[in-house]
Order: sequence, then structure tokens, then C-alpha cells
Amino acid sequence: MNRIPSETQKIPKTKRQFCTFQLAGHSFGVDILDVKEIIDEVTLTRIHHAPPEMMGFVNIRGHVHLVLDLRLLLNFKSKSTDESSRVILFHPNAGESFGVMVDQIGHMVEVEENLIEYRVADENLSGISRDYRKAYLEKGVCKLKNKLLIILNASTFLHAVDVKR
Amino acid sequence: MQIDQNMLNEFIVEAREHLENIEDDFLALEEQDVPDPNLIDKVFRSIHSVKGSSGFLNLNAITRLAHVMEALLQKMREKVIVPESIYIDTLLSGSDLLQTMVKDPLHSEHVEIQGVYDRLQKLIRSVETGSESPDILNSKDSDDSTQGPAKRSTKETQTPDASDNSPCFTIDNLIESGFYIDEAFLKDIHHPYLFVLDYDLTLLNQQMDICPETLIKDLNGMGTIISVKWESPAEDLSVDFATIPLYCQVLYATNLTENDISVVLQIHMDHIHPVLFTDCSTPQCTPSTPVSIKKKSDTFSKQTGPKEVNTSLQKNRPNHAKKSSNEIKLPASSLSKKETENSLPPEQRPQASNHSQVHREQSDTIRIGVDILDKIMNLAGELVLVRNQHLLLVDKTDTRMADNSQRLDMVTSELQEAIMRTRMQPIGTLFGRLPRIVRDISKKCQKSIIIIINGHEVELDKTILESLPDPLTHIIRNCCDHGIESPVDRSKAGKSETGYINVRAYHEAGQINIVIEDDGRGIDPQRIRQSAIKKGLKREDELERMSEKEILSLVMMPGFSTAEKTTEISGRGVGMDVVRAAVEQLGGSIELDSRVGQGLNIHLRLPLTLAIIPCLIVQVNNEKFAIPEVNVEELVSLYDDEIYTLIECNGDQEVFRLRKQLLPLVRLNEVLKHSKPFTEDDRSEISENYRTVGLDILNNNDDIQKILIFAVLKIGNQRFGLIVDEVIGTEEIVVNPLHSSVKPLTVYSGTTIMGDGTVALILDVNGIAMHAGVRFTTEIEKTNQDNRSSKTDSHRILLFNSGKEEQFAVPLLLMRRVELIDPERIQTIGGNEYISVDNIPTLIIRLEKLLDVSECQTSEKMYLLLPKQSHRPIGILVSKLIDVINLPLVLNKESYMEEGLLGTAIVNDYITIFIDIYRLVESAEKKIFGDTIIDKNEEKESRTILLAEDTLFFQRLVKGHLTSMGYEVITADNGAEALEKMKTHNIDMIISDIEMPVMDGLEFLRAVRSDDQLPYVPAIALTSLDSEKDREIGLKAGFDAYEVKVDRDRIVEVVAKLLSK
Repeated sequence: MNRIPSETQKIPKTKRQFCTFQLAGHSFGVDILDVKEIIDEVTLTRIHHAPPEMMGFVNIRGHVHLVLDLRLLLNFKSKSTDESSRVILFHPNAGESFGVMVDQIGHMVEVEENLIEYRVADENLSGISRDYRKAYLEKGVCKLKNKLLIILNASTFLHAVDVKR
Repeated sequence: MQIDQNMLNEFIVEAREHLENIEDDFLALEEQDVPDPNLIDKVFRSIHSVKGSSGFLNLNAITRLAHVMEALLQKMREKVIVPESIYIDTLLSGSDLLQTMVKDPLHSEHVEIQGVYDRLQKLIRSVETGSESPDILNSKDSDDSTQGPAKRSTKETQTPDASDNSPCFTIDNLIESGFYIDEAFLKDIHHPYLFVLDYDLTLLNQQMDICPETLIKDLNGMGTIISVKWESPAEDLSVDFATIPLYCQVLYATNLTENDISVVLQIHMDHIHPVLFTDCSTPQCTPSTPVSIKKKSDTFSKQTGPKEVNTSLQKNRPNHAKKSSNEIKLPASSLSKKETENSLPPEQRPQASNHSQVHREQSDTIRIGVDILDKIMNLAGELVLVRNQHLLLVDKTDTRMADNSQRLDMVTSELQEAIMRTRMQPIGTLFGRLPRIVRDISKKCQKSIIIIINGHEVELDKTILESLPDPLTHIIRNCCDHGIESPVDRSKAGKSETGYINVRAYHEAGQINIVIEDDGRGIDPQRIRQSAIKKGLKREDELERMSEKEILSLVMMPGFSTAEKTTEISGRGVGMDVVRAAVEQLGGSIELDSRVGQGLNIHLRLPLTLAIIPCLIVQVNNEKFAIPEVNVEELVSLYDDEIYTLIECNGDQEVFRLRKQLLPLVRLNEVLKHSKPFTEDDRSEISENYRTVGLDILNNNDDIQKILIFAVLKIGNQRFGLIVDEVIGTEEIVVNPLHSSVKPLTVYSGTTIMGDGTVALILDVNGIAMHAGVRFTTEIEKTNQDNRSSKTDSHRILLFNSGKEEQFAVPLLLMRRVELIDPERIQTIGGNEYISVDNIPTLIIRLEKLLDVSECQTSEKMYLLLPKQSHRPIGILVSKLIDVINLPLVLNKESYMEEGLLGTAIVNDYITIFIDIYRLVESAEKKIFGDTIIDKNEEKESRTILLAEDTLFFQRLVKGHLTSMGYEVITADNGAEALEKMKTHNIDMIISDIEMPVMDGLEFLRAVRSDDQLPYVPAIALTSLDSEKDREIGLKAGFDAYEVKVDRDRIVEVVAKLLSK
């Protein structure tokens, strides 16, 4: 990645790593420090009565994890899983044993902090609107060379489901 | 001293362990009449160890308190005092404080101990006053058994007064106790008095800033130190550093009297013990002039005048440094701070280490952190899963493989079981604290309550056990405070003054059952009703529809309390709801059963363990669910057209007639479909839907081949059927808690991993019933109640032992109270034994003197049964209470009979002798006072009484009373029989029970009264129905008197009165 010589040069260049994935044709990334592992091939146990964002439980080596449908969380239409679908499991510090289903997993990218534009909290958005939740989940956007990478805050996912309910 | 956190933790764990059982031990001691020296030693050691380690950690408050408790206990060890309640009370409050402080040692200094401390000090002083200061402080002493008990006891009786001739220390026993005394040196001493002075050098140094050097100077200024003996309670002086008390006894010769010493040397009189010169070679010390030796203290001596201290010491122990004493009893490293120069006599080292070795070998347990245990537990759980998966994969045709996997299966199961057992702890640890609670409350409320506990050995998972103390304590408090009435009320209600609380634990159906039963006033459903309406918790019409049990369970609703008064012990409102919440949290259930005026029965059911539970695995729409087996009562299958004919609709609720009772049915697939709780519309839609489908199928198909399965699930005492597609089987599953985001869903209680590696949800039976809005019918309960009412003839029976052979029983109804007595306080007067009960000399009857039974065993705590009515204060001596049970009184008279017995019955596989307490009392009185019961017989010409009573027991009892008064008694088992007998016999009077089979008492009497053939005879109703209404009905039916069972004197009086009319 090219460095952009600019006035921000004085700011110490810290690099951040993101795990990227595809969702409904968009690129998203989560901080790699939040990611525990990526799982393919899961057998989900459906949870009746649970909100649709909760896809079900999965057994990962003897531990039960809750899997969320990230498409629904981000207001995309849900789609059935296929060979390229993966589950990203998160570290406990992002929330109690859970993961999200994504369409396709991408590469790990390393970007400099100054390439990220953080979202400014918009107080005008009311708590119930669709955008509110999106705003809540999205931390900011990262200006990659060829595309924009939307940075999500993994630790808000579980809470977002609760908020919706 | 810097406190190391690890050491502190170690201390907390250890101290708690020590303190854990101490309360029980205290209580046991209090009840023992001959205190068990081992028990005292045990308590003493516990306190002592706490003191030791707290001292090491500089936890001064704990050390101080423990020290003074230890001192008091030392008195007990020396048998100066017996563990009476006054001491035990104070010791208990001491141990309470210790426990508080130990929990948070760093803040222990802020705990207010002064009150208790002073009380203890006062007790010690009062014990010591006038006594020759048993050296309370050298605790180690008796452990090392250097001093015989005999000596100690002589010490106790001594007075400090030097001129007193009473026995005291003699030179000989001082030598025995470890003093090094040079007799020759002693002879050279010209002081008139010898004393033993007890000092605690550490304390002295800390509190008065007197170092040993100063002390010795002071002492030598006024007399001669003959010998000094050291002691430290510290077991291992390398650990117990200088904060440990360092006791030192100084054998001191002086011209001063005891009083002077105490003034000059600042030592308390208690610590000054005169010593007797038995060896009269010392001229000044005649046997009548005890030489006192005093213990310590020191500071302000005005004189100095060193008299050959050095010489004396050197003579005694030339190799010792000047200021040090002659003898070091214990490994001396604790002395290091002050007495570094004391070298340890080499021969004592091995001794000490031996000692500690012995200690270590005694314990065959190790302490493991719960986290490790939990980890092992989890791993075992996973191993079980792997095993399950493996079993699925194994090719059954390969025998070697199959064998192998079978072994894996077995070993895993056993391993799992063993690991589970590591978490199991006996419930006794929890039950152990109950007697204390009962004791405290009964004292506070001035009630007489005895708690009988069974099932100490029943084991429970640690997690469950840890959450139980609060609910259980609460229940017991409620029993004591609200349940059991005051003695006055009890005797008014015709019960014995002593209330009983019966607690028992047992395994049943894979659950732990804890039943707490009291014989107090019970809960009046009427009052609950009123209270519920008043508080707006329920509407009147709602209450109308509720069964008694449901109403009772209202008490467990938040914010409910029926107690009229709020007391210190049980507050208002918060209470049973908290109990219920706690129990349900653990996956248990709680059930109340109350008979107004007769008591309350609280039944707790708890799972054995929370981690692994057997479950029924069912399938709906190809999804698997687990239902805990505890909730599953049975499985019912319907075949073919039954599916559509046997399921009926009760309104919008589908029901099935299961053995003539309506069982509401819930379809699991519908429950899962509706994420919102069912509304009435939902329910009627579902039931209508299935009904039409069913009708269609019935009409169109002749040959339906289908199976419908439902599981009958229970919640407490309610049942419903859950229709599933398929039952897979039962499996032991490892329960994982529900993900917290899913917790709001009430239909699930957890998750588990199945053998095939998929996750299955565990259903919450209660949640499903709520979700589906199941309306329960209460028929099941009603039948239960019917069953119960058919057993109205059961009575509460106290089982007890007197001699070691027989088991005895007496109906509680006949007893006033049970008194715990101390057999040592029994006095013999004129060949008869008496004991003071409530300051009234009470005659003691021993059963073996009246009956042909084995001799009453003397045990540490004994009981005196006080019958309800007796002319004189009189009680029957009993060695052990076994239980209080409910029993139908069907007595056998044929197998074994003797005057004074009612008969025998088999109770818990033992032949049990039912004593006739009145007859026994009577014959005892006759024997001892020459009472003239026969006289009474002569007074009355023979009158015939017809006694109609269906309970053989009462029949016999009342007949016994009446015949002893000289009446002829004809008995009848029911009204009809009595009516017959009325016609065939010449009857002067009728005594009849009300409740009888065939023809009840009312009907019988009405028949008698309306029959012109029969002459008018007075009639007495004798019954257990004692409400005003019953009385009215009875009198209306024609009874002349209405008496409640069973007051002997009252009956006799009424009979005599009516007959004389």
C-alpha cells in the first residue's frame, strides 16, 4: 500500500489489520484482533422464537456458539448459505461466544490509521430507524486503493440484535 | 509485617475450615452433660490455630479475640467450668465475629470485637476469681500432656490468698509440669511466699512496652526468680513469628503478698498462683503457707535490687543466657524476636517435627481449587461427547473395534461419575448450622423448639449446596418465628409446649428432596385469600377458582407475608418469594402443604447436579430437543384413529383423558411456530384446525396407520402432555447454559451437544406451559387430598429410645413438652430422682422401673418427656429422640403387652412400644406417693359408659382412663355398633367420637335421642374437631358436653360431673 505523503505525516503511522469479507457485493472488514477463527461447513441448530438475525447455534469443538446473520443486521436481504459462505467467530472480548455468517471471506488487509475515516455520531438519527443500526455497527470506512472497505465494530453485533428486539 | 496475598488467602481458607464446624461443636458441648474432652480439645485447637496464623499475619483483632476465647476454652479443658450456655453463648458470638473477620482479614481490625472480648474476659475473670489462676494461657501444655488433669483440677479450687490452706501448686507438681527446680537452691531462699506468675511476653512487650529484660529486673528487685518456663502456642516457630503469644511462667519467691505483687508488678491477680511448699525443708514455707508464684507483668517496679538473678539462672541452666528462662518447652523460633539468644535444646527439635508429621498424616484429603475441578468437569463432559460421537462412528461388525469402544464407553461413564462425585458434598455441612439458628430464635422468642434432622449424609452438588443456605435458613426462621406458636398458645391449642421442626433429606427419583416440617400453626388459606385481595395480588373470582395448594403457593409471590407482626427475625414481605426464586434458579421446585393449626410441610426438590442431566430426546420437524427427565412423567402413544377420537377440546384447549383425568395437551410444533405467547385466538385456531383435519381424515380414511406420541410432563403437581413427532430416546447430556442473548426466550433452559455433534436445545417445561397458556385442571390435586383425608387417623408420634434395646413411641398429643436436661443435674431425694425444670423440682420416671424394659442409658444429652396433665411435676427420662412421624395408630395388643403400654406397632421396621404415659405416671405416683387411685374406685358405684371411638388407640386410651377411675367401659368401633350396644346394655353414659365410619357420632346421637325406647343418658362428644362450628353442631345433636381429645383429667372431671347430675 502506498503511503500518501501529506500533512498527516506528523501523526505516528499506526497500522491496523482487518479481516475482510464480502456481503451482498460490498466489502466489509472487522478488526482482526476481534476474530478468533473462520469456520466453513457448519450445521446450524435453529432457535425458534429467536429474532431472525439469530441463525442458530453451532458446535465448535464442544462449545456452543450463536451465529448471527450479518446480512440481516446490515439490512440486506437474507440468502441461504452456499459453498462460499463462512462463519467468522469472534473473541470473547467482542461478545459472548458468537459468530457471523458472511457470503465470502476476503483477505487480510493492513492499512494505516490515517486512511480510515471514522463515522461521526449523527444525533439526528432516531433510535428506531434502519440507519441507526447501521450507524451503530459501522465504525467507519477505509479508503483502499481500488475500493472502499466498510469497517464494522464486532463488539456491537450482539447488542444490535437486542436493540432491534 | 508485609502481608503476602498468597499467605493471606491460605489463612482465609484454613481459618474458615477451622471455624466451619466450631459452631456445631459448641452446641454439642452445650448439650453434653459430661463434656467430651476430645470435643473441647478440638474446638480449642481450631481457635488456637486461627490465633496462631492470624498472629503471624499481624491480624491483631483476630488474634486478640481468639486468644481470649482460647483462654476460656482452656478453663473448660481444665474442667474448671463446664460448657454451660452462658459460656457457650459468648463463645458463639466470638466465633461469629471471628468468622466475619476471617472473611475479610484485611479489614478485620475495624470489626467491633470489644464487647465480646470484654464479655469473655469477664467470664474468665469470674471463673478465676478466688482461684489460683489456672494457667489459662499455656495452651500448649495439655497437648504435651506434661500436666496431669488431676493437678489442674486442684489448681482450680485454689484461692489466691496466700494464707489459704486450700490445695495449690506444689513444688512437686511444678517439677512435673516442666519447671526446672533446683531443690538445693530452693532451700536457700528466704522469702516466705512462692508464686507462679503467668506472663505473655509478647503481649507485654506490645501493650506495655516492657521487654523481658525489664521484667526480670523488676522481679529480681522484689524477690528471687527460682525458675522460668517458656511456652508458645506456635506449632512451628519458623512460621509463627514474633506476634505469637509467648507464655512464660515464673516461679518466684518473694516477701510480697499476692496483692502487693499485683500492684507492684502490674500483673492481674488471676495470673498469680500461690505455690505450696510440700517439701517442708524450707523453713518459711510450712504447708499452710503457700508460696505463691506469680506470672508476669511488670513495669513499674520501683525497687531494683538485683538479687542473684544470674546465679539462680545459671545454676538452673548454666548454658542459658542470663535473661532467658530455664525451660523452653516448644520449638523456639517464635521467640526469635525477643529471645534470639535462647538456643533450642536440640532434643526438642525432633519432637516438634514428629508432631507436625503426625498432623499431616492424619489428613487424607487435598485441597483443590474449584476452578481446576470445574475444568476437569468440563473436560469430562467433552469426553462424554466424544464418546457419544465415537459410538456412532464405530463399525459394529468389527468386533475388536466394538469391544474397544465398549470399554471406552464404560471407562468414560465411570470417570464421569467419579468426577461428579468430587463435587458432591454432604448436606450435613448445611444442616449443621440449623440447630444454632433454632436455638437462637427459640431463645429470643421464648419458645421451646426442638429440631430433628435426618439425612446428613445425603450428597449434593457443590454449586447447589452453596446456594441453599439462604433459602433453608429462611425457611427455618419462618418455622420458628411464624410457624411454631408460643408455649402458651400451643398448650391452648392442645399441643405440646415444645414445637418440633423435622428436617430430612433424601434421594428420590434422581432428585434431592428436602422436607421441612413443623407442627406449628400452619398457614390459613383463608388469611392468604384475604391478604391477596387486600394487596391486590389476585381478584376474588380468581381466588375462587384456585385450589388450596395454589392459594398456599401465593405466599411465595413477591411482596406477600401473612405474619401479623414483623419481627427482628423474619421480616415482612421478602421471604418465601426469595426462597422460591433461589430454589427455581437451581432447577428445583418448592411445594407447600399446610394443615391449619397442625403445621406446615415444605418440600424442596432439587436436582442432584446441574452439570449433567438425563434427558428425553424428542424430535419435531426433524429438529431435536431435550426434555429433562425430571419433568417427564410418562409417554403416551395413540394409535390410528385414536389420534382423532381421543383428543377432545375443552373450549380452546385440547385435552386427553388420562386415567379419567383431563390432561391438557400442547403441540410442540405449534409452540415453536408461534414466537409470541399463545392468545386465545391462537389456541382456538390450533385446536379447531386439528379438529377439522382430524374429522376429514376420519371421514375419508378407514385405515389410518399413524402414531401420535405425547410426553406427560409435570411442573410441581401439575401435568400436561406435549405432543412431539418422535421420541429418540434418553441420553445423559451435558448442560450448557443458554447464550445470554437467547435467555429472554422462556421455552429453552439451555443447550447441549448431541452425539452427532449438533447442538440441541433443552426445553424449559415450565416456559412451554406458560407460552402455550396451558390451563391446568386441579383434579390431580383433589385426588391427592382425598387420599390424605382418608388418613385422618394418623397422629404425630414421637419416637424415642430409653434403654438401648427398645424403641418407644408416644403420641405428641399427650405431651406437654420435651425438655432437654443435663443428667448431671439429676438429684436423688429419698430414693427418687428429681431435676429442676423451670425451677420446679420434677420427678423423673425411668421406664425400666415401671416396665420390663432395658435400663435407660445415660447419654450426654437426655430428654424429659413432660405429659400434658399430671398432678405433680413429673417426667419420663429418655436417652434419645429418634424422630417425629405421622402414623396411623393401629396398635397391636397381642404381641406384647404390659401394664402401662398402649400396644406395639411396627415403625420403620422396628417393633415400637407405645407407652401409655398417663398410666405410667399414675403407677409411678402410686409407687412413690402411695396415691390412692383405688379409693376413687370405691367412691363410685359401678357405672357403665359406652365409648364409641373408631381409632383403636384412643379407644384404648380413654377406656384406660375410665377404667382406672372405676367405671365399666363398653366400647364400640362406630356409631352403628354403639347404637346396637345401647339397646343391649344398660348404659349410664355415652362418650362418642364424632368422626367415625359407618355412622358418625352426630348421627348416632341423634338416633339415640330420637329413640324413645332408650333412656336419656348424658353424652359427651370426644373429638379432634375443635372449631366453634363443630362444637355448636355437636351440642345441637344432643351432646351434653363437647371435649377435645384428649385431656385425661378433663374427661374424668366431666364424666364425674355429668354422672353425678
